[in-house]
Amino acid sequence: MSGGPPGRRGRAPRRLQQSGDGCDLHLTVDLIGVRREAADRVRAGDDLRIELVHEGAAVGAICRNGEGAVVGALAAFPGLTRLLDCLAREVPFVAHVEEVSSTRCVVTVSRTDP
Amino acid sequence: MIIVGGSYREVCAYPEWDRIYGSGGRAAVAVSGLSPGSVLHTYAYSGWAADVRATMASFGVRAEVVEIEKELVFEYYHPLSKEPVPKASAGLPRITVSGEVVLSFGMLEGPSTVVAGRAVHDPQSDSPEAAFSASGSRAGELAYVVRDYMLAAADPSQAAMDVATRIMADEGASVVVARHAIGGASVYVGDTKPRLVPAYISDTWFKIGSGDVFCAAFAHYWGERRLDPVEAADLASRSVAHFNDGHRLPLPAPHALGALVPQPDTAHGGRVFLSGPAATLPQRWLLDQARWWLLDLGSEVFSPFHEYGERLAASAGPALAGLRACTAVLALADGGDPGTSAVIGHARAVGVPVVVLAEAVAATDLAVHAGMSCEIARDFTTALYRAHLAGMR
Repeated sequence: MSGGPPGRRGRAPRRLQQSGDGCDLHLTVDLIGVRREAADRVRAGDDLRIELVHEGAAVGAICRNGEGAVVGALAAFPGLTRLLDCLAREVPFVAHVEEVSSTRCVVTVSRTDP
Repeated sequence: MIIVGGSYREVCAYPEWDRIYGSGGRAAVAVSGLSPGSVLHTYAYSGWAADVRATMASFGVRAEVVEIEKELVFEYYHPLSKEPVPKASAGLPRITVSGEVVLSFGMLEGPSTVVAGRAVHDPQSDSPEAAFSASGSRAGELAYVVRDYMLAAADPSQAAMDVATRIMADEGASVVVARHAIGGASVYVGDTKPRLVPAYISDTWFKIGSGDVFCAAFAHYWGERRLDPVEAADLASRSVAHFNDGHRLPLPAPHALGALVPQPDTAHGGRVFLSGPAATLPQRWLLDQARWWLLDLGSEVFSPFHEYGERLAASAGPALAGLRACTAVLALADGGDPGTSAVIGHARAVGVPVVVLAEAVAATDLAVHAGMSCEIARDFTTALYRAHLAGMR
């Protein structure tokens, strides 16, 4: 048998080794709640802006396209709270679009400062 | 709504997927827009329990989490291929909830105890411990949601209706809903004949968690909105089609589901011609998987490779004759197999619909397939689904 369980494809690790601030996140996920109108204006290769949003006591992360429209939300993956914490500390991140359709948008999230 | 169900990590290789959902988490996100103020009661691995809370909070769901020390991971090669179910540690504290409307799922960590005005329960397995009543749960009205194969009795002379009636008697359920593999459901109420709810067509088929979404939508429409169970199951079926198309959550309101088209209502799944290379172990494995899963979906399958074996090279004539008796073709196009290209061209020439699985096909070849009005599927599960549907049309 080959090594490794079936779900892991042996690609680059989802999260790089942590540096001092714990914000060297690098992960590929699809957005939740993709908004068709905004997704239709996005192409593979585009960069989406990641922002914190506050609703009452809840904090979330959303991605906006170049026109400022919300494409979808980042949630339901291991490391979400770390990403939210880093965003709250104003560490800049970008969501690079890997695949996109009217209903699905896969992004790679990584920090943009040196 | 109160939701009781597991939060598990789900890792899939093709298409690539690594998320924290589980039945409870997915159902809670699914109804977060339809049922504001929902509460999720769940177990979660301590390493990502905070991520569960943060995810739920971002959708307005309150999460009551019992943290556990073992990470429970469901792993898949593709969305139909669930590997062995992980095992939870024993002796965990039981989750107990009470409320007007409760949706409960069987969990790896053990049963929950529910007291509800209206409850929807999906045991997730046929284990006696997963039954609603086994943990002392009780409800004023109970709907039981199961997969249709769970109504197949050990005694073949016993009809599915009899098994549904027995569940109603044993569990005190007034409704039993049997979900079908391809979508849709049969709804049993009392001792009347089951009502069939159609599956609705989606462009792609993600499949992981579609049952969770069905239960969530059904619990909202039957439990909270108090719709008739058949009407609630129909909206749940439509919600699943919406979800399947790219794992779209949260679920939209009913008016956004009105344009969905039901799958063809046929007694059989059509006859699919399966073509693909088999020169290497991975190619042969994929061909075998495709045949097996198409049969599981209900299609008849004509696969020249499986039909003729070593005589395949000398059997082109009979194989093409077999093609004319098929209602669709599934072409496994990765690998650039000349025989499969010939089948695609021949099928289109005689008007047979073709679905091409193209995970890594050159753009020029893809353009040729598209030019012949083939359906192009980028992942295996969607290709199976589209071929099955094409065969039924």
